[in-house]
Formats: sequence, structure tokens, C-alpha cells
Amino acid sequence: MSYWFTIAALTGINVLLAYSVYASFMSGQVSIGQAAFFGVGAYVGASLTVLGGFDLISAVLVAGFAGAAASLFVGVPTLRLKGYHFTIATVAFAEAVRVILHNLKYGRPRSSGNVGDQWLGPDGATGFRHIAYLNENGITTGQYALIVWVIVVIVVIGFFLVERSRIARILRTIEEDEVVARAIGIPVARYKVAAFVCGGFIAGMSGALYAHLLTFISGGDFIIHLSTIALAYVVIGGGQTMWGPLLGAILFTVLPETLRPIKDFRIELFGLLIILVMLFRPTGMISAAAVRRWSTPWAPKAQRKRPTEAF
Amino acid sequence: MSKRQKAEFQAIKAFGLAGALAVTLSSAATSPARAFQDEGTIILCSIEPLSGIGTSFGQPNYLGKVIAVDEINAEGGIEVDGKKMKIKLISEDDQAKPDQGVPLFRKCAESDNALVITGTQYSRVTESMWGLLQKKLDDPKDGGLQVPSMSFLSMKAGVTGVSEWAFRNAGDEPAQHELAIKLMEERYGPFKNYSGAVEANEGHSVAAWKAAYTPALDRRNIKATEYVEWYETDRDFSVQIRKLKRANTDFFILSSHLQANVGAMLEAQRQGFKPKTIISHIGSDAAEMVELGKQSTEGIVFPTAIHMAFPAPKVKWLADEYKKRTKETYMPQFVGLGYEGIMIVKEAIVKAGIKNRPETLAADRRKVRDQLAAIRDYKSFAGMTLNMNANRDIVRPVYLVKITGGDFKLYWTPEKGFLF
Repeated sequence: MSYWFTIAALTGINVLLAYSVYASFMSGQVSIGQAAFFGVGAYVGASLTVLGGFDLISAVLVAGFAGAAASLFVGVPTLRLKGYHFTIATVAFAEAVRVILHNLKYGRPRSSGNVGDQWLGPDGATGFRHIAYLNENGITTGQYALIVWVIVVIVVIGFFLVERSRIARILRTIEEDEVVARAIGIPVARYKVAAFVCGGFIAGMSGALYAHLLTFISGGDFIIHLSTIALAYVVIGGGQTMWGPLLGAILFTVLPETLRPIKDFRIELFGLLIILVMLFRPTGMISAAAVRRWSTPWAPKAQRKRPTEAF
Repeated sequence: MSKRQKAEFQAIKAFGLAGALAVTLSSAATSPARAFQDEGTIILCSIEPLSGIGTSFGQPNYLGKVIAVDEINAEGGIEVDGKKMKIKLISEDDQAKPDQGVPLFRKCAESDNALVITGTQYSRVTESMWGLLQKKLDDPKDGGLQVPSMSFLSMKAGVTGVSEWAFRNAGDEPAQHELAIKLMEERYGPFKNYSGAVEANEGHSVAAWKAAYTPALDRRNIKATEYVEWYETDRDFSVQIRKLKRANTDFFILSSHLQANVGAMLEAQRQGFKPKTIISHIGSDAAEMVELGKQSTEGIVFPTAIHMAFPAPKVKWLADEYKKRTKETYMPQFVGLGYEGIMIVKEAIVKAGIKNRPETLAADRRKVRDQLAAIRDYKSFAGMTLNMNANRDIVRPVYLVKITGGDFKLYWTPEKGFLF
């Protein structure tokens, strides 16, 4: 079972990463910078348990705030940009953070290390070893998966509530037409930054959870590819509703694992399924309209309006 | 339900069915590895990159293991507790990705109940996998996995320091490069300008530069005249090669793998950059270096552990077997390391006196682990004698290979010195 618990933990981490993209996606901002916040969270979280003696939950929370701080740092100046310009700015930021993490060295010497293993903490391109919190504290993979999924459930509940609140309508209005949103008095920049920072917070927590699951991290783990995959979770799952990122991340993580026995063909088969989704469901697996229809099948058609229509 | 709703529902249902079918097909394509003890088999796990960027190293290594297991099983298996037991080698593909390697390592240890896990081969993935192991033996506070694991390829310095359950049969990289530099200096020196190129996004290449090449240069009071970096996935090396050329580099250290080496060396050829000596690490030991790099990679020297030109008859047999199974003409050292690694594990199992029963699995793993740690004077099929050192790295003699005439020629041996 521990194999599937590990997959469950990885799936939960990917779900969080998907929601970190979705947070700003709701306001129409496509961020490719989540790998940076994820990486910052991973390094901060691991540093706190390995070097600072923190407990896991505190480390994860602080890592979340570190991710939020990083996203605030990049969000304030760049969220004035629109569309692709913003996306490109986040790419540049992600690459800058990756290079910084790749060269980061702090910590303390290890007295008993082998040649090449005499440093506790990030050691530049050699990476960050000995993230052994789970082993040292007797946390099983099942328990860890549970911790991850408790956090996932809290985040999902948070998005569930937000999606039914005025905030979601405002964000969707910004997504639909920023000029109109501004004209009706919505402080667009404030909402966009807030959504982006929320995404940074979730990515930071997710990164810390990832570091402890993998026991070793290096700057090379937090490349643009990670951000594009996270974006794909949202696009494939469906960016119009909060259920989309959940479904997308689960699909992307679990399906390749279940296909593992067919070896070389699994990636081809998985790729084929993705192409089919994009061909037949260009708005993603789940659309907002489908959610409305399923959640209120008894309601008259006229009442099943998009949130922005009811704003 | 409207027509559109019906169509939408049908589409989602179709995807669901397609997914379910895929899962069912995949499940049918395999048989679970359970109850191995009752069936009289010993389970070994083999994790390596069989697809993706590490395939050039993972596939040959895996084939070496398969050939060894086939040979052992053809002879009736391993004698355990008075009866012969065959080996079952469970193969897993980590695609050189740590997030795939970690669950697979757990699967091998806790679901497949493997006695020993071999692999993986990319140091980045090995580090994460071995991080799951108990760090210090008999530490009651450490809940890490207690299963011996041996990598036959992860070269990155210090990797085995992660756990006392971790072993390596890949060679001592600092010693390899010290020897290579010394020999090249003796033969072609003196050199004026030593320069290095490092694959900066690849842990092993960076560690080789930091823990092997730089100390070797420090010992000679030499500071690299030029130092450039590129990534494993880079396609343009013009700026770096120009810098190396401008530095009048005559001793070039190529701490990089084939994926970048081929492009870099083709660019070097285009720019007319031809240093007197080029040394590299095991990342250059792949047929693609000559198949794609052609003339540009001529003259590169790198260390090897096992070469198909070794005089031992078993090496020739292995090379022939490998060629028969793959239709390749060159057998990289990873095949020999994989083959030899399984034979080392086999000897440890035989000496450990295991019971191979479900209730003795933990004790059996510990016994095999202790035997691996105690390897002394092991006679390799390739003719050399091997010993495990205190860092759980097998100490083995170094040989040099030179790319010459579109082939990987054995260039220097401890017994005969330079061969050409």
C-alpha cells in the first residue's frame, strides 16, 4: 500500500500546485511562475525542518508564507501587465529563481559525511540532501498522504466557498473584461495581486510537502516544465470551475501510474487520451456549465446562469 | 436532458470508459509479484531509466542485469536454505525522474518485498530514493526503509552517505579523474591552459567538477583558465566554445553527458577548437557520441570500469550476448556493471545464509546488507579484484577509453599502460 500512499501524497501535492495556478487563472492571469513559488517553498520548508528544528506543519505554513511573499514581490510590478506579457514575466521570474536556488549555499558542515557529502543544507548545484524529517519522526507514507490530503481538503473547501462568493464573481468579471470591471469600480490590481499571492501561498506549501516526500531537492527540480504541467492540470481539467484543477491533477498523476504495467506504451496512451480531451473538450474535462447543470438539475434553465451574468 | 447535455454527458462517459479500459488493459498486462518465498524465487528489483533522457545509460545497465539473472537461473538459481531458488528480477522505469523513482522504490521495498533493490542510475533520482532508507543502522528513532540497495551507475560524489543501506558499484570518481589528468599530463604535457565545461543542471557533472576535477587541479596549483557552463538540454554552444577557444585551452575537461557533449563537440569542430587533450566522465560512454558526434568527438578520453576489449573470456561472452540481444556493435561499461552487480548481489545472498521466507525477510535483508558491506577480494568476471570501502563504494581499478576511429578503444590499463 505504501506505493499507493506515495502516489496519493504526490497527487495531493500536484492538486495543490494546480490550485496555485487556478487562483490567478480565475482572474484571467496565466502564470508560468508557479515552479518558482513551489521551489521557494521547498527550500524554505526543508531548511526549517533540517536546519531549524521546526515541526512539519509549521514548516509547511512558513513555506506557504514564503511562497506568498515571493509572489507578492513579483505580482505587484507584473500584474499591471496584461495577457501574454504577464505570462512571459512570470517565466522570467521562474528562471531567475531556479538559477538562484541552483547556486544557493547555506547551512552547516557535517562532521561525519563522505567525500562530497560534508554539508547539511543546500549546497549549490549539488543539491539539498538529508531531508529526513519523515523517517526521523516515524511518519509513515499513509500518515503523510493523510497530512497532504487534509491540506488539500482545506484548500478545496476554501475554493468551494470562494467560488460561491462575491470574490469569485469579481475575479470572473476581471477575467471577462478588465475595462468593464474597472468601470464598475472594481479595484482590479488589488484583486489580481490577492489572487496571485494566494496562489503563491498554496504553491509554497505544496513545495514544502514535495521536499519532505522526496528527501532531496535541487534547483534543477523547479524548472519551467513543472509550471507548464501545473498549467496543463488546470487547462485539461477545466479552468472554468474549481473542480477542473482537482480532476486534472488527479488524472495527470494517477493515470500514468496505473498504466505503468504496459511499460513503453503508457506515455503514448496517456498522450492520446490528452489529445482526445483537447479535441472533444477544449474547455477542459469539466466546464462551469456542466457543474451548474449537475448541481441544479431540477432548476429551470433560465436560473442556470453563469456567475458573472448574475453579478 | 437537452441534446447538448446528452452529448456532453456522452463525451465525458466516453473519456471515463477510455480511462477505465486503459487501466484494465494495463492491469491485465502484468501479474503481481507476491508470495515469492512460497514459489521458490528470490525477488530483486531493478529501477532505472528505461525511457526518457537517461535511456542511453539505463537500458544497457538493465540488459546487463537481465543477462546475469538469465545465466543464474539457467544454472538452476541460487542455493538458499538447502534448495535452489531462481531469481525474479522486477523491472521498473523511473524515466530519470525523482517523483517516479520514490514511489517505485517504496513499491519494490514494501509491495514487491524485494530482497535487494538495484538502482537507480541517475544520481538525482538515486539521492531521493536512498533518502527513504534508514540513515544509520539499528537507529530505533529512524523509521526509514531497511532494504539493501545498490546502484551500478550513480557516480555523484557522496551519494552513499545518505544511508548505511546504500551501496554503489560505479567506481571512485575523484580517483578516476586524478589518474586521467596525471596520465594525460605525463603523455602529452606540459599544458598551459586547463579549462572546464560543466553541465550545470546535472548533479553528477557538477559534483564531478567540485569533488573530482577541481581538487585535482588544486593539487597542481592550477586555476582553470576558462570555465563555462551549459545545460543537458542546450542546443547552442557557440558562446561557450568561443570562450574556451579564446582561452587557448589545451587541456579541456568535459564534465558533461552525451546529450550536451555531442552538440558541444560539433560546435567545437565548426569553430576549429581542438585542444591537445579532452577528458570526460562516464557520461561520454554511449554509442551516440560516435554515431551523432562522428569526427568531432575523436580523441575524447574517459575512465571506464569494464571494457569489451578486456582479455577475460567472460567479458567477450557478455559483449557477444549483449550484441546478440541488441544488435549494437559497442557494449558500454554499464552493461558490465549491471552484470557484475547482480553477480556481487548473488554472492552476498549465498554467503548471507538467508531463509527467504516471509517472516525472515527483514533479517534476510540485514544479512545481505552486512555481506555487501563486507565484500573483500571479490573476483569479478572481468578479471579484477574488488573491495567495498568504508563509504560503501566498491573500489575498482581504473581504465581509460579513447574515442578513436569512430570507436571506443581501450586506451590505458594498469597492467600494460598506454595501449596505443
